[in-house]
Amino acid sequence: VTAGDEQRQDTNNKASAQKTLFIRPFVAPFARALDLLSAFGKDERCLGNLELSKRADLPSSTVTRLAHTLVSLGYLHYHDNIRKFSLASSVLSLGYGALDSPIIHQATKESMSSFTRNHNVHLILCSREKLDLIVIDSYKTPAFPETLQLEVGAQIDLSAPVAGWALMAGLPEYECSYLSKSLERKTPHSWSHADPKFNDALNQVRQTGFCTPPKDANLSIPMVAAPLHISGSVPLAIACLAPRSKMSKSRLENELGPALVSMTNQIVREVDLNESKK
Amino acid sequence: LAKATVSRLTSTLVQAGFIRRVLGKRNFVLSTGALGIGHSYLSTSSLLNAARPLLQSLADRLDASVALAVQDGIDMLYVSHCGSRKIATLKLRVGLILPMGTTAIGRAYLWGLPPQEQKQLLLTFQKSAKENGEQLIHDIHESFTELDATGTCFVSGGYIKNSFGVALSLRLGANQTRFAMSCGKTLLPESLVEERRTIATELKRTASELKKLLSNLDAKI
Repeated sequence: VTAGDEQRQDTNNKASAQKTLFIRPFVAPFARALDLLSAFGKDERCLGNLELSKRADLPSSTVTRLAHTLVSLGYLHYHDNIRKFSLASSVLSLGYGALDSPIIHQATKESMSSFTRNHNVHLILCSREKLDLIVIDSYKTPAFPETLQLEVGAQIDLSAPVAGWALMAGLPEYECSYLSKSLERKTPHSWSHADPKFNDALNQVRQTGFCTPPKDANLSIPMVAAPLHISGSVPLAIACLAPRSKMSKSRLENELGPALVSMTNQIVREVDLNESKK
Repeated sequence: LAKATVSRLTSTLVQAGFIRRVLGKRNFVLSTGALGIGHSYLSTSSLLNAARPLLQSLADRLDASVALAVQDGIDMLYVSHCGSRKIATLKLRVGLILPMGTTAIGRAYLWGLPPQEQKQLLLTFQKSAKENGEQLIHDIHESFTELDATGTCFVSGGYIKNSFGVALSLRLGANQTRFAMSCGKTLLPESLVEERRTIATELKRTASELKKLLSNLDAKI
């Protein structure tokens, strides 16, 4: 990637950035390399040029060039015999270790596992990656089938009720509305920034600290969720899930919601206490 | 790097979701971008997935923390880590990067390298340790002597105070990729000698089980 290349990309990007009213410096080849690494999923280990170009939305010549640079840097492998690429161990050094943060797990482990036991529900801890939620911790209950419970690493649409809504509700207002508008741009058929349901959810979190699905959501596995802000960590949300037969509206609103909030408050208090001891 | 370059790079990283600005401050913290890539890597690595049950069983048997690592530049990178269910060794986890010259796992890896590569790394470590360089090289060679004699090395306090690691070097899979494997515990002064012997024996046994199990797997790591 030459400097001239970079400059051209920069100009292109500035033009498109202006359309969205943001002018931010941007190193396109670098961003594309990150996109390329992010294109690898959890199902297929090896991807060819064509697949990568589709997933990362990049021309195949760019993919070829970038992928070979990434191979020489140790972030990708090239499998000669099948002419495909796979992720290499160095991707773990991009911050995975720091992110899979022991602070978060340590702070939440005890409370979340006893919550799961006491209420016979499935609990997940989520953080955001772009317009998805990623499950970073999962507490399963023997009370309902394991196949209905989510694994660590599972992705949930940020727009799906209500884990993502709770996470967004916990963010500063401008960040929340920025995300909501991005959702609208990306999935106009399923998300509208002006949707009163989302607004109701924001209000509910403001008033009660948690958020329940809208009446017509008709989820087979309803959930109630609450934002969680641990100092020094990314914004998080905890969601509590159980089959519909075990999640009446009143149980959601009177038992599980408030219990979730008192748990998140306790987690935050404990972390602050430990911080001040240090 | 020049300040302007840094700011263009951080801005790109923010937009790509890899870092974010701390609210109201000028600092950045890591964001979740790398988490997704790491999960993809770990969940599709057939070698690591196949190895994990053996590592976990060793960790459970010894009540210790067991790790598999590869070289990442001049450091070691944990690609797999299993803790015992009884002890929460919070500092250790997959994705951890730790020094090669001062840890058991790093020295075992170094020992297994071809002479030319080994020499180059030793020079680098000696230089960067400055006035402690000579002592460091001496210590590393002591571990090498131990590895020559027993196949494992023991280092205490290399990464975490009051803890020790026992490590060996091994090559796995169809393409014989180089790894190091270690087993660590907190220090128990009374039974240390015996403890160390038990761990070394168990570690070697697991290493040979891993070799057998993974011999046909594509081990590009």
